[in-house]
Amino acid sequence: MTEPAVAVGTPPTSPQHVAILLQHAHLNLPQAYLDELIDAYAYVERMVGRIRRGRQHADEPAYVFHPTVFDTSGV
Amino acid sequence: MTSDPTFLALAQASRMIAAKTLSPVELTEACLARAAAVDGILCSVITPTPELAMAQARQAETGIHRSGPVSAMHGIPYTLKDIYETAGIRTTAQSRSLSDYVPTRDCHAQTALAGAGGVLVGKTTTWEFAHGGPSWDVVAPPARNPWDTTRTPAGSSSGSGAAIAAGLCLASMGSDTGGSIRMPAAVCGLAGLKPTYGRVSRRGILPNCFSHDHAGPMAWTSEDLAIMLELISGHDPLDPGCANVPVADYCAALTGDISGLVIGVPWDWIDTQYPVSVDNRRAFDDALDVMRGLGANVRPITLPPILQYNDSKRVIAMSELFSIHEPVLRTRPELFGAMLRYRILSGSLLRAEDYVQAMRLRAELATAMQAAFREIDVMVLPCTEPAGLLQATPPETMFDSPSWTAPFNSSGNPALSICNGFNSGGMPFSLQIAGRLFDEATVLRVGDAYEKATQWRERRPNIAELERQASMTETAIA
Repeated sequence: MTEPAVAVGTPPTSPQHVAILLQHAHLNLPQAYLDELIDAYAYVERMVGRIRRGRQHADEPAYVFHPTVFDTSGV
Repeated sequence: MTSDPTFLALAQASRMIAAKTLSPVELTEACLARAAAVDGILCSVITPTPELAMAQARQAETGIHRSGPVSAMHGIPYTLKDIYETAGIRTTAQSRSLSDYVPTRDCHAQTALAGAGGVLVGKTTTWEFAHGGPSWDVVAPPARNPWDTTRTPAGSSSGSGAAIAAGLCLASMGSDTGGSIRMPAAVCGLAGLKPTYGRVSRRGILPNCFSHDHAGPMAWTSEDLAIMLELISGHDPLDPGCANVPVADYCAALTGDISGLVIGVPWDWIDTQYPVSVDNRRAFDDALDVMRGLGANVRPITLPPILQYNDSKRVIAMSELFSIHEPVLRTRPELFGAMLRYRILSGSLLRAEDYVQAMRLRAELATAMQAAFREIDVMVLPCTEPAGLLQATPPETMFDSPSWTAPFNSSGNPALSICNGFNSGGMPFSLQIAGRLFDEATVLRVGDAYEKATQWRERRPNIAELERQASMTETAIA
């Protein structure tokens, strides 16, 4: 059985923490856009929290690499 | 049948052109005249191409008189959503970041449709990069719904839906990442098909979300879509997502016979998890009765929670969206409309692990969907609710609410939207028919059989009223 990434009732990330994450991403936004992002991140975090974790090691993601599709030498 | 050529279904017009009872030149002139008369209020076309259209129409007429039509699209006016690249024709994606972008090559769909003798009358408005909208702070205002101009034509292929419904063209190409072909088709009273992922090449289409983007046709009927799908399908090695799977004879599949087919209905989605409105449920029940009357067997099916499909899709979509638009976001964020910018920003702090875990969830959900299709031939469910008012929506509303369309973007299965009635306000209801992977033939057969058994396809919007509103708009501007 897999579990949500974030336990129910966990408080959202603080604006200060979002600002640190943005610094790590080297994303320097005007204050107005930073406010938009802080607002949005609470929703993103909740949505990501609903994506279950704890899968079997061998559970592959939907993206499976087919190397032949990138060989366009004959086109 | 309508006497107005702009309101013919593609298949009807095609038969008349082949019989030389309809002139491609006169049909194109009528569509261009309609655009001049009503698009001031509808805003469905961002870049009209009248000179090209008339040249193509004259060429089609000459060719058909000489040796007959080369395809069922020969001489048919169509439009392309403005994320489809067209050589020498501006392609903006409705974004100020591409307001002057003129591609040097045609996309796959334009090559196929023009090669089949189609007549391109213009590029249609979209939500910015087929993602965020409706918006008023982008290169052009959003399209309006021809059935009621105070209402939305939905998105993101909004201009395509509005243009067909108002008779500016007989068909259009849209794109569908979470429902963007099916929902505009639905609320504009049309048919729209999201083919199987990989069925139609996306080469030359500006991306929204690589792993969920689908190209597909919009028109009045399932038969129209079958005609277009045959022309645009097939393996294209220049789209790495395109599948090398044989293309069926979709028109031949439209037998009208669905007796014995097993139709699955995900009642838990419709009644409990994302409840349908009372009126829409009544229209849906009536449609199921029609299908039972045609000999189909209807049975319930169970699927994973609908919100899981949407969560998986959105985490993946926002991650891919950010990766596409990151350079402009870093340097000129003001070039994006507020709605799209909010969504790109939302993807900026997603981690690689979030993306991979969403992809692992997608694998689980797609597996469950294919398992369900081993028990049934098609799945039927509502597509969306009738059109609401055209107004800005809070961007955060997308995060927590599901849709009935996105699960088939996650799973890759083909899904068709058709009209199944009208509400008391005259706005269309819609029905969604999904099928097994690469089995568009059965999906279209069910849609066609339903359309032939009902009268909904005969209705058209009130053009005189649209002309009146457009003239008032012009007077106000003057």
